[in-house]
Amino acid sequence: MKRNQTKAERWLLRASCAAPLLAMLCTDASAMHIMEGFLPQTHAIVWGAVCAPFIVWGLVCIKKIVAEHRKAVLLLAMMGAYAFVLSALKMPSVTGSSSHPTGTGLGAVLFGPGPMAVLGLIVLLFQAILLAHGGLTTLGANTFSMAVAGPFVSFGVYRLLQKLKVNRAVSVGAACALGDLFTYCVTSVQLALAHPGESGVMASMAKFMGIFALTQIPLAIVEGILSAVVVIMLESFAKPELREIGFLQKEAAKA
Amino acid sequence: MAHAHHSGGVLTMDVLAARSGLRDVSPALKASLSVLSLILCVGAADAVVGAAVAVSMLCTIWRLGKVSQHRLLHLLRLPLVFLAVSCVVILLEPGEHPGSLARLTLGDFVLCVTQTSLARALTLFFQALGAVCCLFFLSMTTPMPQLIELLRKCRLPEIMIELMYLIYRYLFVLLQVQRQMTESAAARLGYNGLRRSVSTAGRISGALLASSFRRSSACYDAMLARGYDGKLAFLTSTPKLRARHALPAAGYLLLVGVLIVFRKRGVF
Amino acid sequence: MEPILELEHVSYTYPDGPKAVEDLNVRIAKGERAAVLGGNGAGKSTFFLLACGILQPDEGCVKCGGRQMTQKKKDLLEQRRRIGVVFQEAENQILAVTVEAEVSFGPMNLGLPSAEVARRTTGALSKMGLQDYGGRSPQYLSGGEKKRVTIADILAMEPDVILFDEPTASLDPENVVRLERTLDQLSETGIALLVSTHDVDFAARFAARGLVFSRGHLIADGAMTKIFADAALLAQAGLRKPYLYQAAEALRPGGAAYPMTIEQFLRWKDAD
Repeated sequence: MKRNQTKAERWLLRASCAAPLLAMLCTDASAMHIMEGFLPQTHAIVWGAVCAPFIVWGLVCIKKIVAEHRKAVLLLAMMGAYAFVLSALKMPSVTGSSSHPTGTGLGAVLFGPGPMAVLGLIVLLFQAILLAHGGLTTLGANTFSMAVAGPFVSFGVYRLLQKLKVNRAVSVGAACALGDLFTYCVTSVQLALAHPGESGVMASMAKFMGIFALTQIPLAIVEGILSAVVVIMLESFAKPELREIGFLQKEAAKA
Repeated sequence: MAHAHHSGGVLTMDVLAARSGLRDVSPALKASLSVLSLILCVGAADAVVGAAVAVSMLCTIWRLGKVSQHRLLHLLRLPLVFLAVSCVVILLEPGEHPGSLARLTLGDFVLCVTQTSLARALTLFFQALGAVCCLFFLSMTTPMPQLIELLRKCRLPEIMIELMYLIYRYLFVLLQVQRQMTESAAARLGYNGLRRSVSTAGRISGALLASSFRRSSACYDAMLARGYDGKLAFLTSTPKLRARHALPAAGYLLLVGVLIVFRKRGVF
Repeated sequence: MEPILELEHVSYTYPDGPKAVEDLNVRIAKGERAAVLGGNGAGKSTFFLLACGILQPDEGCVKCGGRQMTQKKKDLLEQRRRIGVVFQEAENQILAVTVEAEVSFGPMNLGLPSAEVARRTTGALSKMGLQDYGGRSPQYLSGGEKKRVTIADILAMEPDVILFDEPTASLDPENVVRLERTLDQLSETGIALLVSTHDVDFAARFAARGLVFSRGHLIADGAMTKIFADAALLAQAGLRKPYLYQAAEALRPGGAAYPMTIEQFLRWKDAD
């Protein structure tokens, strides 16, 4: 069948494949939200079920924190609003297009991974409805990758680096960057599981990871730097609030 | 009327929802229609169903929701691009495949387009397009406050509802502050060059978070001053469910269901 | 007649700072109008927060309608109902997502039945000319409209005293005029009003009684005419005289008292 196609047709097909790839480089690169309708229903349900226990645990954490400090509700809400605003913020990136950071890694470092799961879910819901970023059927999958997996890694890396007495801003930066990278890996796995194609899951995963690496790796690095700068600024300008949150974090860790 | 501050075009959906021609329809109905259509569209996994849902939803938003075609197509632009890109990724199969329609060689890697991958990509494209349009229907006709109230009625945990209300309220404040900071920084040449841009953006983000935490103290005091005691309670008025809205919605879902059955049975 | 609000020897220090207010003694009678003057950090805002029970005094006590207020939930609720505070930044006060929900927040917290909440909400909205704004989102309102919403918020709680923290700070001249009219209307219904401000001209138009704060102390409490005649006091508090006062003083120096509002000025100019 290939022999029946003229050279021009083959060239056209190849070019038309390359064009969207180029377009992707030139459009906004956001953290990897899986688009609405992109996951078959079984996968949508399974990912939803997978992140349910984390959400429940997060709610328990939040309830405990708020019971001790009613004001924590406002701090958490501000963090959530901040994460949303960050994702709507345009940051310059290497490819010349814009990146949209997430802020969930930073939130995990400040408030703990439990509360961040719940906040992340709310932010993702808002992004789906207010910005058409992500979707309702993909809410479960996106929550798992961006509000559970990523923040857990960020929190873990931060704690580890702090134990090794690494400078705080560097710890936060590394934690957020690695969290983002892990999110992107998890998303690739989710997509590969849903769309294995003919080459199987592993090859499909390699394909997704390879293609999205172009935008996600620079994004992770930029977000790492951003988070580090934010922490430096918080330490200069919001010490009393940080102290309050530091206390809150201990509460979350106890839960 | 005096001019209000804008969020710089970030929250167009919110503005559209507030002005929607369908804002007096029961939010429970709108949400049900949107979500059920979404489920049918994704469950069907069929290009024709997806395309039909997409077109019908867009027409409904345009006609009944009173959103201009121009605005609608503008908002579709970004999801379409993402969709196209994602479908191309699905289209390309890694590795050698005999009988493939086209090949792309990048150094050591070979990507092929096969009949199956083409069919799959097309189905996915229209399926996702239909789904996105269902989501658009919800976004452009139902203001967030109505949705949050609906979730409260669905017995979502109270703390989550409170957080949603507060996050929705404060994101406007933060957007405005962020815009002002960005404009001020840009006026002082903070965005000349990549390195400086990243540094400035970082500082703005930091200042934004710091100021929002400080603001939370002031907000908390104001809430206390009005007797806040741990439960966020408001009086709200929700549009009631009416038969003349519910019946066409049910009819639509029935039609989509019939279409799916026909497609599955191979009628057309 | 019991004062509606009374602070007796009240002192307060913020957790991580110097003394914010020291030995405050203030009595506000029903329906009174007073302007609270002083520079930044003089203690005006702290005074307001102490009056409505958000801050608890380290020393001294706050009395509401003759009764001392304790930290008991019932007392706090009572205090916050009777003494309302309109904060300087409307953005920090507005927390709901529709105007109707926002104004209903106070009455709902008072535990009133829905019908009563609805009645108060509608009443407060119409008093502030916001009848048609019920379903609108606060974020899309102008500065002046937001201010009116924050005032409606407090009116819905049917307070006896309303404390305004720098209400003219972010208002354009048209809205300042509207605000002054609103304050007059509120005063006529018998609500006591305390307005803190930097604008001495506005203060002079608003009230005959002034409370002057400086570095945490209440250094003057009495007639505005006496306050502005005391140069040393004004220097200590970092205040200037109202412009009309200065103009009159320049025209006829050495007098005992000078006009501070335009009506007074016109009468004064024709007299003698």
